[in-house]
Amino acid sequence: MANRIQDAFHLVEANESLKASTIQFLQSERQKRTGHTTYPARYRTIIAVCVMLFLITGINGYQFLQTPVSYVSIDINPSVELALNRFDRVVSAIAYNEDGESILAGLSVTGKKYTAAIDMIIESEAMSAYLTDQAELVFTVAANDGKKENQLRVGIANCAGGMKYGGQCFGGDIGIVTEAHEKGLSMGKYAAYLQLAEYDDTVTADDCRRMTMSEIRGLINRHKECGMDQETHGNRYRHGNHK
Amino acid sequence: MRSEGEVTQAVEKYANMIQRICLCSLKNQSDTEDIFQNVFLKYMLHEGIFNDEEHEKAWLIRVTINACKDHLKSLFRHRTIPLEALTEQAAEFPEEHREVLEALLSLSAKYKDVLYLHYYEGYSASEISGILGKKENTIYSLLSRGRGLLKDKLGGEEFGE
Repeated sequence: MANRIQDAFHLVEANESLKASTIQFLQSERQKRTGHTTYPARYRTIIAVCVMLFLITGINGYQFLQTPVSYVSIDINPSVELALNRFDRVVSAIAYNEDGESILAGLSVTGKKYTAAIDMIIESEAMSAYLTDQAELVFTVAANDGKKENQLRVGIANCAGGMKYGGQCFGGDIGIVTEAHEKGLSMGKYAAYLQLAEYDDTVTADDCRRMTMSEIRGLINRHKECGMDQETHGNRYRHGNHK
Repeated sequence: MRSEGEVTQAVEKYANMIQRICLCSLKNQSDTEDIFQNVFLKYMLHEGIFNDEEHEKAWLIRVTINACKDHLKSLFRHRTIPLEALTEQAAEFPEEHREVLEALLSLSAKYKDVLYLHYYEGYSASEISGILGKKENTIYSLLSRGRGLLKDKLGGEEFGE
C-alpha cells in the first residue's frame, strides 16, 4: 500500500541540531562572502562604547594639548606672540605687525618648546635686521599663576635668544590677553601701551601699534624721569629680570 | 545571495524532505550533514527566481539528489547500503514502518528516488521525469519494477499507483 510508504517516511525527520548546525554553517559562509563580521549585539555595543571613549579621549586629549594657558610676547618692532600649552609647547605663533609676519614667514615653531621657539625666532636671518644697538628686545610673559610665570621668565632669561641679545623680560597680566588681541596688539605691546597711557591719556593703542617697542619704552622712561605720577603705574606690567 | 531570513525559513521548511532523500541514498548521518550544508549553501547563493513554491521544492529535490550522487562518487561509495543511516534514527519507529523503510532502502538507488518521489511527495511520472532529467517512460519502468521488488520484499503486498 502506498499509504504504508507515506506513513513510514513520515517518521523520518531532520533533527533540530542538524538544522541548527546547517544554519550556523550558512551564517559563517555568508560572513566569508560578504567580507565583514556580524558581531552579536552586546559585542557591537562594547565596540561602539570603546570607539566612543577612544574618540572622546582623543578629542579631549587633542583639545588639552592645544589649549593655550600662557603667552610669551616678543616685541622689538616685529611683534610676535607665542601661545603655550600646559607643557610649555607652542600651540600658535601669531604676528601682530608686518615685520612680525616676515619673521614668522620662514619659521615653523608650533609644537616646539618655548625656549627653542624663542631661539629660532631671535636667531633667524630676518630678525637680525631688527636687533640693532638701538633696538629694545622685550619679552612679556603672562600665565595663570605666578609660579608658572616665574618658571617661564627664568627659561627665557637662560635661553640663547634672551641672553645673547640682552632682552628684558616682564610679567604681564593674563587678563589683558584677549583685550590686547582685540586691539590688534601683542600682549607685551598692549601692556606697554597701558603703562604709557597711565602717563599720557592722549596716546592710543593705534599709536602704539605703529611705534617700536624701543619708542614706547623710551616714552615711558621719559615720563618716569619727569616724575609724573610714578606711584600709579605698574599694576598690569610688572618689571623684572632685566638683562 | 538570499537573505538570512529566507534561508532559515527554507531550512525549516525543507529539512525533513532533504533528510528523507538523504536517507534513500546516504550511508550515515555525517554524510547527511554534508549534504544539508551543500544544498542549502547552493540555495543561499542561487540567484535565480522561483516561479512558485513547487518550483522551489523541485529545485531543492533535484539539487539534493545530485548532491547525494556527487557525494557518493567523491567518496567511492558506489555500493552504499543506507541501512546504517536508518538504524541511527529508526530504533524508535514502529515495527511495520521500519520494515517498509528497510525494504525500500534495500533497493538500488534508481528505484528508491522514484518510489519516494512518487509515493511520498506525490509527484507524477511526468513530474519526476522533469525533476530527475530522465524520460517519462523510464520513470514508469522504474516505478513498475520498484513496486515489484518492494512487493517481493514485503511478502506480496500490492502497491497501487
